[in-house]
Amino acid sequence: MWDSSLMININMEPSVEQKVENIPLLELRDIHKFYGKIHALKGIDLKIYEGEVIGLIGDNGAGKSTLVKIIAGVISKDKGEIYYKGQKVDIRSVKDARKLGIETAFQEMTLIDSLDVGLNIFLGRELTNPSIPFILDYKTMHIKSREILSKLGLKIAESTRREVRFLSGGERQGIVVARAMLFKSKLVILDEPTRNLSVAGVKMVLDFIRDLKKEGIACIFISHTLHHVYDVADRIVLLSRGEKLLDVPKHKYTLEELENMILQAAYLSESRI
Amino acid sequence: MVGLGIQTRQQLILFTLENVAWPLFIIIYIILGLVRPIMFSPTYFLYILYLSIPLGFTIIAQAICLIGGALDLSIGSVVGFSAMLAGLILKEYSYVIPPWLSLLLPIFIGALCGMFNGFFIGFLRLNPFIVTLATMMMFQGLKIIISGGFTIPAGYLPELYLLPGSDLTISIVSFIVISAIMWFFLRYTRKGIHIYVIGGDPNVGYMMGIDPRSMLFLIFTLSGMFSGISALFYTGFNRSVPITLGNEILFPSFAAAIIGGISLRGGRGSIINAVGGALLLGAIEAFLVTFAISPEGRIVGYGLMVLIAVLFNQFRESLRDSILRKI
Repeated sequence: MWDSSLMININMEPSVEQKVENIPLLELRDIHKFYGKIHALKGIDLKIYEGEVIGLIGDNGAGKSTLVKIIAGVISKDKGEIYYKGQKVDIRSVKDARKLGIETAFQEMTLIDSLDVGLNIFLGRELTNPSIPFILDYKTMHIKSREILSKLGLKIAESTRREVRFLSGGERQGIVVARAMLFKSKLVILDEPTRNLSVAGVKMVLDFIRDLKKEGIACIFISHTLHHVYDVADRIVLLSRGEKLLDVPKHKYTLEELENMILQAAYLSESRI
Repeated sequence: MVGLGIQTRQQLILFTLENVAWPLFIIIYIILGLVRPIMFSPTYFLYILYLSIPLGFTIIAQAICLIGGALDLSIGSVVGFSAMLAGLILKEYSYVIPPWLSLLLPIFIGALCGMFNGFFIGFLRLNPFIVTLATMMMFQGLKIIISGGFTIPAGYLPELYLLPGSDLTISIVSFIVISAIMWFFLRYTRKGIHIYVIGGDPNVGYMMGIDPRSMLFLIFTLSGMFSGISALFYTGFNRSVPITLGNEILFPSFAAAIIGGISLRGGRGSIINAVGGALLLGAIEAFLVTFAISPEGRIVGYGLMVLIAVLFNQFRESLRDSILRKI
């Protein structure tokens, strides 16, 4: 079979260290998800502390997006518990997640092609006129969109009235990230935010994550590979086939050591099948 | 176009393409008028407006559904059913129901029919095409069953109930006011914009916290409500509730909405232009009335018009896209 002592050793380390400090912002316990007969998540435990950046990595189909969607309230878990600041919570909808301060930039580009950039940034949270409550305040939405997009260094900041279907992949990704920047509150989840982005765009996203950290906002940064998340992450979590194989604080290891651990974990899980 | 910058010209073309129903209405009206000069008489023009209004409300109903990415085949049947049921209730109980309340009765019945559609489409997630096909047949049959095969003549209905549809000025003013309210609702309120979102992509809407189920319920409730308003105006227009009321509404409601630039793909279009489409259709119908065309011939004409409208809209959208892509 496989060497379980190694895995347990690696898994226990961060929680033992951080339990002493405080209660996690968000804690997932034994999360399971089935898609028909496919066991997409096989009992995931995860703790996210305030101001902590988690680099969540894994191959396609590892369960990263499924896990994120459960936290974001898009899909429901089949088993397991979620605790928010030590309190058990039930996240049943995107609105529930937002109430807890969880803001998610999904991997699927959540944009409506026929609407303009400004409306897409405020999708589902459109601003209304302060004096006449139910009337949309387009002016403020466009001003705020322009501000946030120019912060990201995107050219579309000048044309927030353009329909998004005419934009490039990078610009579309930029809108999704801009949305997270605008509505960040307690926990920001970025699912493959650097996809389609230019080198400058990637730098903007990484800077944004560092800013979040400074403000004490937690972040889950999802990527295929370690290299993308290594610079900014405090903790590296590796998922594979619905299982958590690795959960380690980054500062204790070099990039090479982490790479070796990932290879080893993947090899061990592979040989188990 | 001399003297206009390229940009202004482009914007002018875009504006025309986006609101094409109106220039098209004017051009076709002039052409029809050249064939039949009576079209240029102000009285006849007002008559055309008046003629278009009951149908115009169903076009707004269809436009809301199309913008929301769905379609409503039951509109004509709901118009007929709510006119008939409201007429029968008023015939029996007009002495207990205050006259002003009677005006709301068909609208209320229409809204209930719409909720029935919306329940199956929104909350049970059934296909709008199948659900409204089924309710189209159900409401059509129910209309005939409850009528007992008889037309309800004007004498049985309160005069106030007949007033909106039978008075030209009230008809035109209420149509303008109600379409303006609807236009404003769709463009400037959150729920209105969410109809565009759901029509654009319901999954994206869901992931951004907009519930497609309750939105579809709202869309079909509104569609039913507008069918009910149409029933009120048709009753007044006819000064009776004939058993055939609502039989010839479905196709024109589609044709006009599509001529008015409401995309079949959902999430696109404006009520103002659907109204332009309604007028265009009214003008063509009034034009055809001046010839002796058989009812069968008119049905062929409607079918043809839906086809032409779809083709035309496709062309219009691709032209608009090609201009916008360059900007």
